[in-house]
Amino acid sequence: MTEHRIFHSMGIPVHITMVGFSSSEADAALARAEDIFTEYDLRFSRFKSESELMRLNTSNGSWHKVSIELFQVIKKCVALSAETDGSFDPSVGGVLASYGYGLPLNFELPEVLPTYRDLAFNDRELLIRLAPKQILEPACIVKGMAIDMAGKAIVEKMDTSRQGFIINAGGDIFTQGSFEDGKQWNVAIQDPRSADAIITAAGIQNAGMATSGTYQTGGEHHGKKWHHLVNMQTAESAPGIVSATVIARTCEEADTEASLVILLPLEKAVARLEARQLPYFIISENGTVTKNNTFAQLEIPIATLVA
Amino acid sequence: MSLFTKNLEKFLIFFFTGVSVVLIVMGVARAKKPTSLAAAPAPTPTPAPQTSTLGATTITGSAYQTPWGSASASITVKGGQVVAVSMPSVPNSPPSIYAEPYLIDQALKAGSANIQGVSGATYTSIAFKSSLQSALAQATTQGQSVSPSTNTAVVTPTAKPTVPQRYRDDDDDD
Repeated sequence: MTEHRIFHSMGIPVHITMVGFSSSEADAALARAEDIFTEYDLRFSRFKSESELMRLNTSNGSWHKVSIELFQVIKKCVALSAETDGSFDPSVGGVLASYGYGLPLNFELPEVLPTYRDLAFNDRELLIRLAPKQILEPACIVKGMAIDMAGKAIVEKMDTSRQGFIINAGGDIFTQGSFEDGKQWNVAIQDPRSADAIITAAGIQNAGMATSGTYQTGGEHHGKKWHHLVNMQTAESAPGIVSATVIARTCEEADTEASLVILLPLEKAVARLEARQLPYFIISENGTVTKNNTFAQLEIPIATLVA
Repeated sequence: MSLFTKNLEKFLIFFFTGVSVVLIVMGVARAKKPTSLAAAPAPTPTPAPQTSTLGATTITGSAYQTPWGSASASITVKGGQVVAVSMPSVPNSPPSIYAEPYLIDQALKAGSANIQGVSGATYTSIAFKSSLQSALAQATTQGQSVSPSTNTAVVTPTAKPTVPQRYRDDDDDD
């Protein structure tokens, strides 16, 4: 039996397709996945004033006690910031808030933007101190983590020899086991130019796949267009790449690396992905596609998939 | 068998019977909830751009794309106050992924495409917000005086498309 379940969390629809699950098993899996998403949302949301992240984001200037989960996520963000010379920086929350995207409301950016270097950590006491007007947004890591953890929660209670599932959370994907008849999961990539079209597809199994794109979340601020992937070296929305898809062992890795592709110069992004041996499919503003052989090997011509 | 073991045994039997009953009740309660996607209400496909009822005017904002088709927000203005905010078409409401899908999702539903998912940039509520803002701007150009305090109350980052209650637990995005 193939069962479909959908719930809504973090402002995105989460769709789970389960193969070999009975209806009641599917319901139980759905409940476990939903619980994980709810937990992540309450902890890490920049859109909920009562979240643990927002309590940290309003504690500027003083030492603030956080949970081990939040502490680790912010530490991970800082490590990524150091690796990318600050192109990625969790302090991006302030820039996004100033565009009216997420909390705090009516946020005015300071003249000099605080960066990840201004964060102070007390590892023993799990304390973090933010600079004045520093607003953190770790979403690029957190969403993939939630998807992986939801997947893990389902795996723990299933028979991996005969059951499989795919979680699709607003375009970011985690798969476990196989689709019907032991087949791989075929996942298409959306065409950034048209919501009605797909551009290619790849067959994956026991892997995460994520697409970061500049075409969905954005707006205009003081007459200037913006999207949510902001290079914090320049504090501007990163130009050049409109869509980056990465396949990795976990959705967290796929999602993080896909976001970095948009933020980094293309050569740097490609070098980073090659070093990690990850399959990728990148679409530039002018429509040029950059992909590696490992992706090409997983690629399936759409014509053979659509009757 | 000692009295203690006997009592322990008794306790365990009662305890696990109790737990089982609770679990069964919870299971039944859950099974009673409508889980079928087909049972979900179908979205209204064509938004009426201007409908006046009892002095209230409904203004539809610019359409925006979501991975599941285009959508637009609308507001109902009465006496300079925004009295309602709604989504005339609700493509991102989960059940409508099946009910009103885009090309490839139709193929998915019919089973004619061998594709189990589409990976793309995350759809968030920001597009809804800009559609809403365009509706508010239209209201002003049409001579409706919309009080600014109401605007700011309505246009919050948590504004999102109308979706059936059971999908509406959360109001934010990443």
